[in-house]
Amino acid sequence: MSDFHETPQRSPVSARLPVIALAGNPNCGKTTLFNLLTGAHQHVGNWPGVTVERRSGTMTMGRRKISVVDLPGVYSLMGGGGEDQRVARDFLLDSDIELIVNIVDASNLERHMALTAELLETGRPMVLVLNMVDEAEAHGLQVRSHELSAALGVPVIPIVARKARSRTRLMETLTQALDHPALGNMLDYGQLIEAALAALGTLLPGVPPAHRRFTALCLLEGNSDPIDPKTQHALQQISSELAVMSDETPADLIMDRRFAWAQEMAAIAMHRQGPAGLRQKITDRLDRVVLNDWLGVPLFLAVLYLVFVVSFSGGNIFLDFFDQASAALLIHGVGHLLLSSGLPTWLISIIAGGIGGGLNLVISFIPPIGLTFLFLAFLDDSGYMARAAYAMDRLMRRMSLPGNALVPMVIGFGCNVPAIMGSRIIEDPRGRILTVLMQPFMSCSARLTIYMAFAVVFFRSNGGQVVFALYVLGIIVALLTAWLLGKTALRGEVLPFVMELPPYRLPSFRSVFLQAWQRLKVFIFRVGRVIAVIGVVLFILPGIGWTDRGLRSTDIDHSLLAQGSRALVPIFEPMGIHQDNWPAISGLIAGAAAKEIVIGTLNGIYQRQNAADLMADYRDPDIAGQLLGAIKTIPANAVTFFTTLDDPLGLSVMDSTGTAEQASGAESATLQAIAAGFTPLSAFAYLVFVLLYVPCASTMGALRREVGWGWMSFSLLYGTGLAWSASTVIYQSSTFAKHPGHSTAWIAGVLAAFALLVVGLRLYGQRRDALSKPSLNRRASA
Amino acid sequence: MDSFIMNSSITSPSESLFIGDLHLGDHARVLEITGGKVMRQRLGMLGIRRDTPVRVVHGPGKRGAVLQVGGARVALGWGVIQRIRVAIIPAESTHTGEKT
Repeated sequence: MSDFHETPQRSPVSARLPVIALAGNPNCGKTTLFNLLTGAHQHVGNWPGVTVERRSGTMTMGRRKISVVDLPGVYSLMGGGGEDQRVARDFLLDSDIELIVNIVDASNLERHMALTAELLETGRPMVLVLNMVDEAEAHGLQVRSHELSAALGVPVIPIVARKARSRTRLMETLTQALDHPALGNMLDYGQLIEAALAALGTLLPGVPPAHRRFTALCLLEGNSDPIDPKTQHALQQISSELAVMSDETPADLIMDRRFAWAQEMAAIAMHRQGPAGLRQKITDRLDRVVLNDWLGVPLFLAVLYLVFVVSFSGGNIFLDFFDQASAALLIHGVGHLLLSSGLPTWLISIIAGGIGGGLNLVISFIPPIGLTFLFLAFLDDSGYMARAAYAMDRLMRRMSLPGNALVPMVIGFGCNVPAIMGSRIIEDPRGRILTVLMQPFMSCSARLTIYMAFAVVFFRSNGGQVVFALYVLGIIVALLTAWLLGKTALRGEVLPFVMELPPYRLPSFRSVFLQAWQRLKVFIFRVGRVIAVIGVVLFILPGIGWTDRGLRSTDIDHSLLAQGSRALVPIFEPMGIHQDNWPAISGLIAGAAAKEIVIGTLNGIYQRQNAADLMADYRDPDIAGQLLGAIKTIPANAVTFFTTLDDPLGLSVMDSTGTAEQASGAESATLQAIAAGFTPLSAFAYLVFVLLYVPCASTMGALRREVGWGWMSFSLLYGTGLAWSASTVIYQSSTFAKHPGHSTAWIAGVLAAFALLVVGLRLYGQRRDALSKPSLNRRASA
Repeated sequence: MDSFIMNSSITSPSESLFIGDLHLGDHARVLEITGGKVMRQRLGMLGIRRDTPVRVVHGPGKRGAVLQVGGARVALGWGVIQRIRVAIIPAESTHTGEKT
């Protein structure tokens, strides 16, 4: 290792932390290594302007603090990839990086080394980490890291990141590499290409000298456009000369040489000792079942069912504990403290009821969402998810969707937030947007409480069927939405299915836990902020109202919530909601924050209408008793979990009115008020509205994060419009005989609006296609 | 043609097939990818390029096929396997690739 080309030592004047960038192919164990290096000192966000996940963190080596950036997994830096590739390339070329740590899978070295060749072209100091050497050994290969290090001119360290094997040696190697950076030996492309690269390099005066070779390679491979006519002319000339001399395109010459080099390096690094071991046989046998034409799809549905049951029914074991304990501490406890300190009641209401209530809502979501993330990380790391995508691809392709779009859809039955965030598994940006926009229509577990409350009152004998019909309606609307958008605004072909199937692995608990925790943290701290703010607003609205003397504290009947709800009633009249049923509108307004609080709001309104003392809960709270009660819910819910494994949606509670009332969370006074305000038909129309209209605040936050403000706004307007239209059509067509003229007008209006929407989406799609045409032409000509 | 494939003889370029024409377990060498630059790049990144030896480990069928390429398995959709022209070769192992 003494013959590395060392670069001049950097002056330690800057206060900036040294940066190590982790780069490698997908499935090389890069994130496991990142977790190993940084532990819990991580931050997960997005790369600027794109929805590519950015993981960064810090590690301490001796007394030194180092910043570590986990780049997206890419097969190449040069071209043929999407945003992930651009993000990785730009960071490696344009950022201040002290060291690139290239992680490669030792059991599949030949292919991983092709990226190593490109990384060496960046001219950055590098360390090569040969990961999964245990798997290579299981395949009968002996790893020769010293020989590879000598050939590459950079330190090479064999490790097993999953088992934290050789961590100390790795840290020592990184420390040495930071002190004595080694640039490595760039690949020699042969006389013809090297001469062409040198000639092109002289035509790139604006490009920093260190990047000229890389830029020239990109130009010669046809992965970037020349910056000026002079370069373009020279490039054309060089390319035609090369084609004449070698009978091949420059891109083919470069690629051939790069892969030949990767093969040479792999041959140096690996020595066959014996035949392949058990692992290969296990992979063969598992694949025979998992990829089987008949078993593949049912098996995937069974796995998803299991994830769904364990995440949401299992999450429910702890949901009441989190809910009640956080309510006891954050609402009643804080309220009591503030009341004892003599603060005015309005301020106590805002802090304890508003902010505390909002936080309580976020905290109660933690068990099911956390478990979902845990299972997704487990499935992803196990190597199964890629196979499931292949199994489902043909089926989903018919709806213009990629195979793995089914995963978020099923997760969406539990909660739309992890479903939207889980859509990142879809590589194709168009498919990802379509999948994200479908999720708000999946009936999440929060909507179930509303369905149940109404089913208890109006559909006692066939509640299960009504709830099931609503679930199916959600799926149909989601798929039709994807189909409609795929034919109009987001036209395009689903990317041909090309995916590496990673080897089966038993994921490490540490890696799975850290991945899930990072995602949960995003939910708690980012999405939670939105919920808390909306919680405050919704707490204030029922307490103040517009009076003759301006904005004053009032009872709920004269509050802003009541005034606003009454003003909105005419809009909802075509779907069967009348003036005296304004609390139903309040419930919908509250549902924009979280669907869980729709019934809670109705409860609150009816209670508040009768309550004289809003501070009663805070005056003498039995916090210890409430906490004890919260703990007692865990074993009780665990028993429920095991007895209802075959009924994750909880539809069996419909058989018993008393149990269903309890499950809905609505008190009998609320149910009586619901019974008085609706007819069975208007109740069903209301439930359809609840299913389709604006998603909750958390989902809105997740939508904005994943697809931006534009598509988020579209989703809100489209969902609400569709909800109103569907409910109106259901109500008007069912009451057609009573007022045929009136109903015809409403139904015709809805159909006309839908036709306008389709035209608008088509026009948008055409405009979008026209804008992307120049780049398509460029691709085609290339 | 079927008996020829079952015999796993080496085909001459004129007798080349597409991956969709192969049978489960067949070994083949890639002759050409006819799908345009983006597809060639995409497949190239996964190690499927001219002269690469591959083995069919699932399919080919309407869903596509799964190929063993070196030490990795790559799943390809129906539209892709119809664009990779190959020639059947006798079963062989590669030095870092598939472990037989």
